[in-house]
Amino acid sequence: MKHRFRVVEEQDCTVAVAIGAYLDCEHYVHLHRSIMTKLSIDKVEGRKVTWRQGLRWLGFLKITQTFVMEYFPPGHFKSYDMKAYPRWLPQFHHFVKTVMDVRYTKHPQRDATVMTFDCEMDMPFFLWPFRNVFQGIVEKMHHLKDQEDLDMIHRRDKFFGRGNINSYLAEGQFLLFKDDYVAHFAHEAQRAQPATAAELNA
Amino acid sequence: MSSSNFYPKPIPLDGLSPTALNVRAIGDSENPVDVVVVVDGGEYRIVRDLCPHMGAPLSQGKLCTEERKLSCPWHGYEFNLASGELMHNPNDEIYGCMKTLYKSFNPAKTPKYRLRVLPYEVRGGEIHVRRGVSS
Repeated sequence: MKHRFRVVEEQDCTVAVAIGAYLDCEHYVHLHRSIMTKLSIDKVEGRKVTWRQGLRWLGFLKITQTFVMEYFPPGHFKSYDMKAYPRWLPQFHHFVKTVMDVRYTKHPQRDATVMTFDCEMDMPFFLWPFRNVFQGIVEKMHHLKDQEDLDMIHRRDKFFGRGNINSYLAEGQFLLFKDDYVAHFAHEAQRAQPATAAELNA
Repeated sequence: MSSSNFYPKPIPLDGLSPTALNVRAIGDSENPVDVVVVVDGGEYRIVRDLCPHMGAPLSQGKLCTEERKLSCPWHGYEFNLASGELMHNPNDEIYGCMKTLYKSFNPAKTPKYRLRVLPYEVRGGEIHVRRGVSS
């Protein structure tokens, strides 16, 4: 039985910044440490990355899962094939097949980003009564992660100017799928302010 | 010594925790500057509340007093508080396998991120933080 839900949020930042922050993977396990306990990469195939990720549900319940994240440039991320790790450990993913989809698009009227999060949970009939509980947990974790990202984005906007993606584009900065990011957004470096954190510290 | 060589707001020694990251405002309304003060034995380590990598608030990072190490809350970069040098990027262990995949990423071009440890003088129970070059 499939339960689907969607969360749509307007984010006060440019699309290039929102996607840059998403691809700036070095922050995942540090900024989001309240929900993510560990992270490693099992496999990389083109724009598909298989992650092994430790999560903290509801602040206390720790689980480890593997999943594939696939990137469709410039702003579409799909997560699927979620499995328990180790496989034999009874867990949510043995019963519920989850697919998540995140898209970042330009707001049609304003200089802002529309983030669309779609989730589909395929579950057996005996878990159907709990679908709203599962939705609540996923929404809460997603919202917390988004809020932490936005706090980071807004602080960077304050110091370096709105839309400044120069540090994401810098040759020495690692991003996931960086060639795709540079191909789509390098032209936006022109309008950004040149300040970097290192310059502000000087 | 001209007072313009120092930031306008001195830091009272009272209330500085020896085990925590103490964040204090030392600028004025036109040029607000926040710093992190770490008590290190009889000395103080004072750095901008701003990670030189991406601009994170270091006051929300993790302090290891034994190793004189400060970790950035956003990316986990570990800095030596005495010298300001970047000691370790813990993400290399996670993403090392991906760091040769992209033409647009050149690790040789990664800046040598460094905290600027601010010089200071202690007078009358207050720390006066000096502007200008790090000692």
